[in-house]
Amino acid sequence: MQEVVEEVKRESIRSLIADGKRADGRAFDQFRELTYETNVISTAEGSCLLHMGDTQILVAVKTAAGEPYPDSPNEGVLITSAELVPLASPDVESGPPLSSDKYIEIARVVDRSIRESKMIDFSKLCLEKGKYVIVVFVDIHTLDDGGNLIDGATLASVIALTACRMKKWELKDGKPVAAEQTQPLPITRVPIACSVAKFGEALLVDTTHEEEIGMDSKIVFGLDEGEHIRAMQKTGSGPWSREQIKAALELARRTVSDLRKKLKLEAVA
Amino acid sequence: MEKPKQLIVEGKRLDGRALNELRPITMKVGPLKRADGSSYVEWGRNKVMASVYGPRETHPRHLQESDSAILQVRYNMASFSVEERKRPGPDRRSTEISKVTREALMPALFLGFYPRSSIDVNIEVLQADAGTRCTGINAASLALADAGIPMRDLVVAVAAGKIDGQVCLDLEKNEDNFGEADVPVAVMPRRRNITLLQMDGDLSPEEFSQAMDLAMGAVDHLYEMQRSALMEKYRG
Amino acid sequence: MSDSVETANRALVTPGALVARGRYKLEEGVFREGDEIFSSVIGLVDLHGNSVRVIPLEGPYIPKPGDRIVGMVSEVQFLGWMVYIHSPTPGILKVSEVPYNFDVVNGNLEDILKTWDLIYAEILSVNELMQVKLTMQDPELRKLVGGRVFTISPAKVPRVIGRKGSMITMLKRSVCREILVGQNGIVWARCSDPRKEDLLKRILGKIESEAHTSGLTNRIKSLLQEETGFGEAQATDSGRQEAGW
Repeated sequence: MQEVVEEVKRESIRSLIADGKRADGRAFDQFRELTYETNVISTAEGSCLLHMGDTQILVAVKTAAGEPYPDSPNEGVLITSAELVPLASPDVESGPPLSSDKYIEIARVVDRSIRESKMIDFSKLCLEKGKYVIVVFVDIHTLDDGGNLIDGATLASVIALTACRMKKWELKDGKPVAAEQTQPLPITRVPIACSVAKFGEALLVDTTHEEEIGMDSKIVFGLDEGEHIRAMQKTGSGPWSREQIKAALELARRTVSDLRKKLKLEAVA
Repeated sequence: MEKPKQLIVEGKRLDGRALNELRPITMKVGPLKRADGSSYVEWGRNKVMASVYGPRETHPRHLQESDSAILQVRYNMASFSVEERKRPGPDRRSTEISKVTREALMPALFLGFYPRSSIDVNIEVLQADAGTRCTGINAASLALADAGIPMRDLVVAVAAGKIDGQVCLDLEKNEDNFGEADVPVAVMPRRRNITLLQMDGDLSPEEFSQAMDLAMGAVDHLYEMQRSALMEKYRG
Repeated sequence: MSDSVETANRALVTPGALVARGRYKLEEGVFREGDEIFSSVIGLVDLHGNSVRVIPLEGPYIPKPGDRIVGMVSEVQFLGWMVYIHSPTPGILKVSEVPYNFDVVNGNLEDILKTWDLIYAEILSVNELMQVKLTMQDPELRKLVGGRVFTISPAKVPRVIGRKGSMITMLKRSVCREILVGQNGIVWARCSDPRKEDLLKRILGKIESEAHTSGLTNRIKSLLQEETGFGEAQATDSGRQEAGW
């Protein structure tokens, strides 16, 4: 029955936006208040708890030694997952898959930004070519779904990775062993994702979950520090024109540039 | 970690606690906006969040009961909550804990008020260090009260156990791994009704009685902590 | 057996707290075990005469006959409609409860109400199985067109209405004339200016978060004065209300 109330709100949100306004008073190109803490989970080697308005996302990074992929025998492996957490919203039912494709998409799009931007130098994560490499697990746990999960999850993941102090993996008698000391991950650049949602002709960033009910669809742009595009994903069914996509990209670039200045995220070489 | 030679040295445990001492605990009510009720509890190094949705329509429909609400509990450990990363999703242990947690909470709820609906409790362990099911029950009790679900009483939970041959309260991870017994208990404090009782290990009847004394002795303190946490949301 | 009060009036209590002993009449939020009366929810103790209750600070909407609610049609059914009423079970509105001469043979229910329509209706009856029947047989009950919908926690509705309607009257005079507050926590308003709808949303938010405090009415009065330039004293001339912006 939750959907019914949401349907009512959908119309109100759409008419508000048609009037040039948002329910929380923000401008169309304004992000909600963003705060984060790192190293909140001691069982993980890196972690970040991010608050973005009502959205709360926890990402933890852990490493293990494992086999490389056959086509990249001397490179480490990245595995990104987003667990379906019923805590986060009334729509998530503890049973099977229908609602879980949203979370699979989150994990894959976050992974794409990180992987395609070559954020992590995987060649530095090899212990023995063809046999042992370091596997980096990025686990995304949405605690409170207040909207804009992909942007939040990407940001929290990227912060957790830069804050990560992973165990020093070495080979002892041919087997991988984790030493007590820690070291940072080999990070070369820091991608940031910005989703732009479309409501008719209007374009908005950082949608709340109510706005997401009312939108036509949105496009996530994963951008690197040079503002090159590393990943994109249209999510939701409404169609876009070329001009709209171009305008959205411009909006995303401006927004990401502002976020970088505000957050001062740096690569740890 | 290898088994330490001794878990108790000169009357004190490895983390400095006395045998009858609880780990440091903090409780917070209402951290989640979308849930009807929620809580966050830190207990030693355990970090557990709980949410409640409901009463709401039952899914799947065939589970609904015509004269009362059903209570559904999901206890889950995040993959990163333990030292060795765990595969995401439910396993047999979490299924069992979900069941006993549900049975620990049910007697406290006036389920008859909401026929044909469902009250859904989610317990998410973000960081684990032994005693997560007890931490989870305390968190669930707070989240249920926060959601305005009518309750006969709050529900508190704590575990007692045995290490180095001595009965003690609230085992942390090494004590749980290398100790001789673990007894989690959940209680509705007003009438001292025990709604969860489990045990594994080796205890004589005498030792079991001592363990229960220790656990019951902590009930009032935990009750007071839950009440303060609930009131703080409205006073703080 | 003597009657005694165990907690102060207006005290904040948690579930399981002892509120009174003896032969009090029990209203909401409390239950009896033998001689003792306990709170079942987190809320404020309210003793009046020989009745005792605890006013919940949170909780779902439980429909009671006579309650007026704002609902949304979720399904057209046989000779009636299923209506979402923001409660664990939906409401049923039969065509016989709508003031319309419906032709059972040739008529089309959707000509009267269709899915997604908003209505202002009244709870007719609730049985032990929580099956809720609605009625619209009263000139004030009607289909709602346009406007905007807000949801508040049902436990806070009494605060939005105020003692003898004082709060809602103030809001209707200073913000917007057409406001309907459903007992189920759904509020509908249709204002001439969308800025007023925003102001209303802010005020509802404030009432929700401060419902349990005292002095709220005065704080809302000041807020209204700041925002609209009108206080209670000037609100008698309804013609000026629209021109204030």
